[in-house]
Amino acid sequence: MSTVTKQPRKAEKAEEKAPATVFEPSILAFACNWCSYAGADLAGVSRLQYPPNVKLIRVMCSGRVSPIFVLEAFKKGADGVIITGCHIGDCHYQDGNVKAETMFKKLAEVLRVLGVEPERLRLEWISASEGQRFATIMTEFTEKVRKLGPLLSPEQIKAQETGPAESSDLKELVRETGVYQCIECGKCTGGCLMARFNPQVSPRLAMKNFFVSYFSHKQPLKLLSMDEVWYCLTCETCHYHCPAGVDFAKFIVWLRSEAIKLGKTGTPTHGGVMHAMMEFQALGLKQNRLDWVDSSAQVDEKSDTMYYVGCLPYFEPIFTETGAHPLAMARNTLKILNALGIKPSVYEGEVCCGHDLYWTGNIEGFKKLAALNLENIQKTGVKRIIFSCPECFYTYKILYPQFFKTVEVETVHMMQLLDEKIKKGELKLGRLEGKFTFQDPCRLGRLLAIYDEPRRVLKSVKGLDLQCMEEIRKESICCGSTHWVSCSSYTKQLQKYRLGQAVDTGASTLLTACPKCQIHLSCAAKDLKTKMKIQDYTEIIVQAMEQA
Amino acid sequence: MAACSDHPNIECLTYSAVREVSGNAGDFTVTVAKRPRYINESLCTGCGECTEKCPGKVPDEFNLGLAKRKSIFFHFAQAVPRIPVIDPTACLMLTKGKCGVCQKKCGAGAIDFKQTEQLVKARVGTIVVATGFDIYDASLATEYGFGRIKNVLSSLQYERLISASGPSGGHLNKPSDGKPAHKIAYVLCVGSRDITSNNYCSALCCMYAAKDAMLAREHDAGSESFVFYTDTRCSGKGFWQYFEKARSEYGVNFIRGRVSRITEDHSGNPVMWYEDTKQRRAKTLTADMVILANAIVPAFGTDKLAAMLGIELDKFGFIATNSFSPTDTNRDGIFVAGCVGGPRDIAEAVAHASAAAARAAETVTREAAVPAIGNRG
Ligand code: SF4
Ligand code: SF4
Ligand code: SF4
Ligand code: SF4
Ligand code: SF4
Repeated sequence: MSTVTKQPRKAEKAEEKAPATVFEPSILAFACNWCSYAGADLAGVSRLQYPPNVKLIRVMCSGRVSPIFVLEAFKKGADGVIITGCHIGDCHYQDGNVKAETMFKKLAEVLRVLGVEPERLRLEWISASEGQRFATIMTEFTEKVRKLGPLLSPEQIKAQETGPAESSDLKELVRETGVYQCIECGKCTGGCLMARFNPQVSPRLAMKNFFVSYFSHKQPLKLLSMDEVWYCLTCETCHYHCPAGVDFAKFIVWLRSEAIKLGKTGTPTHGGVMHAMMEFQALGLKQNRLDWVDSSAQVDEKSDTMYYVGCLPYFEPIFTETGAHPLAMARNTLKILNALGIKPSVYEGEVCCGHDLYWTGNIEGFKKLAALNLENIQKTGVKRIIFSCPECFYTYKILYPQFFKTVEVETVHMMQLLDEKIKKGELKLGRLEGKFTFQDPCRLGRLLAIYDEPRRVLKSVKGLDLQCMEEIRKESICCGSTHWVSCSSYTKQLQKYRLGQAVDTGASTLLTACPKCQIHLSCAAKDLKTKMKIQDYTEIIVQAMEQA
Repeated sequence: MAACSDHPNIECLTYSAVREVSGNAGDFTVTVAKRPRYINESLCTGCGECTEKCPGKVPDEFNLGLAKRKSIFFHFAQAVPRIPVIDPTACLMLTKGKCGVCQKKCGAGAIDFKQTEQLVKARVGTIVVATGFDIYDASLATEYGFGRIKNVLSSLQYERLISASGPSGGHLNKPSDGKPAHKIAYVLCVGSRDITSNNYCSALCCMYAAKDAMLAREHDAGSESFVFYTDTRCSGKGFWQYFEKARSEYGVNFIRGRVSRITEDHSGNPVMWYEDTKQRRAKTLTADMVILANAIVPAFGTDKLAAMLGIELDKFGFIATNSFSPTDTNRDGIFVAGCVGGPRDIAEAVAHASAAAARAAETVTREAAVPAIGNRG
């Protein structure tokens, strides 16, 4: 069937004579079974020539091509990826190609921000009768990519390989997480936000199963189902209520790193694209992550204060349809900082903080990103980093020092800064009528005990009526996932429950302070068609600033 | 208490606080501040006329806020001595300079708004500290909603509710709407055996919860009782049988699992979230009323008192004693009795107090020239 291998490898011959003059790009093409693959076949039987660089993968429908396929292909050395399918209206599954088109647009934007030239990704509709078209497109695409040169160097590709799995020090883990102290009281399970909806969940039992697995079978995961390892939201509710101080979420991170060694990953949300995108940032491509900065915003490259933006430029294209606008948080943060007289630097070389990789047990991936960020701190010489995202803040403040002993930079979250400046009267806020309620983010709240600052900040807006939901502060309910794993009908029920509590307060807007809370709750609000408006708190602050 | 105050060799200084202690075993000088009651104790007959018409309305400490008291009041019905006290933070005369109703009512002319604190010095041979305990402030365990959810009560509030002389005449009425509670849950280990609050077992709560649950069933045979426990700690002769009696004869439901969280449903009923560890399931139970078994914690001011006495505290803040001399502090001549040295139930506290009294007597008889108690100056 393959039309590729029959081709004489002209380029190789050329190489023999004058090595390294012609670059042979590696092209991956996805072709749908019904149209494009048949088109390729036609090209073959018609003896139409097209470059042998193209490696063809047949999928049942272009809609099956998950963004992770493309990201993984680029990571593993593809220089160009082309997705082909039936013409719109011809899809054998009605609208698979429409889905492919939607996916493609988001993916193209993500890749652009990641620093992959847009020309390296292409989407084409090729029918079964368009053999010639297939050959032409492939030739043209290959030539275009050839001109661009390689995406990753062989070193960059090699650097992704992880060495042999290190054996973890179990004794150390047991001591650090305190799992041995468990008195089996069940308080963790009873309070677990997942256990409320998923009757299979019991952190207490998971620990018990682990001990029996480990001590009777010498295999830590033997008696654990993968669900048990991957359902956890790592919201830390159990930890902060455990009478024995067991840090179950940390233990889960360890279990996950063990599971990954066995090749058993969980069910990442969004087809795994989030984690792949984060790992991609560690490859060292020049990203385009600052396009969002308005020309009116005042930034200063030489400032010793940096605003760390995190993954907001990536979340923006992926989640627009939920109604969430992650980048608005970044723009508003800059506006607020400028109003406070702070001209921060925003750094192009910034990479993802690694939070999500850490909590999914991908410790190596986390460390790579962390090392890059720490290198940046040294390179730029910043003294203070301001965060708008609670997860980035937590990662810098708590996780980095755990892995890399010296992190000499002051870390400040916007809520702390705002609280301080408002107290001093340095930020003028006007009047804003309305009933609001506030969602404590896990990382800012439970994990860092920043509960009062957001409330003081919001209450300083005159006219703003802040209502309390039923479970707040230490008992706050997680938005459904902190690290893009295991979004399920259970997490949807959790979100529905939370939105119900917000509705019960009589508020019309639920204010969030974490991009993930905003995304997840907006997604749920849309699914459930509730009237509750989900808004990032920075928007309210900027509005109040404009009223002053 | 009455027997104690009537004893010819005992002088009781109530409503007082220790200010200074000096000297050594056999010869201590204790300075005690007698706080002003604003009542001339030698004139007062304890008739209670004064309390009748006082306009004050203050949450009653003895009933843990479940009832109101006047600004001039007896701490509780059996208070010794039977002399009222004026609350200077609430009394209109003392705060605003007008009223004086009680003064008009008092036939004995005992009300004295000019009274001030008096320092009393006592030379004593030995000291027994028996200042008791406080209950853990359950509002600190935010997951249980105490202070926010009306029908979540502390164990002491429950004792007052079920007491025939209590604010509801012994009826278990829900604070939210005053209607009787039929489904009552008892949540154990609140603030005990918990590294985030008090990392020790309070020793009494398992047993009194069983008692409380039985009382509720005796009071209303149609009621249901649920006790959520971590472990049943029923150590002592007959204790386990008592616990079993609650289960078999009184039909009390015991559920193994520490309650994780209490929320309030739309009709004001507390909802408990927990894992039934025997059935291995996360569950909820909605009750009419929830009683929290608050931990026993060192009484407020124990640290200050210990500093004055020069005695050590243990890591929990109780007065430190040694397992082999459970009544002795690190200072000769100073002993402890009861819960100030750690949680213990009534029977144990009585035995402990007897032992402390014996140890104290030993000290005084050992030192020959000990001034009689009460010999001031
Ligand atoms: S809450 Fe803590 S002590 Fe209780 S079962 Fe869970 S991990 Fe064990
Ligand atoms: S971290 Fe959250 S989701 Fe995970 S077991 Fe604990 S309470 Fe449940
Ligand atoms: S102060 Fe007067 S009225 Fe009040 S109890 Fe004493 S004697 Fe009676
Ligand atoms: S003077 Fe004070 S204590 Fe007396 S009746 Fe008035 S308010 Fe009550
Ligand atoms: S006596 Fe029972 S309820 Fe009280 S702290 Fe100990 S185990 Fe918990």
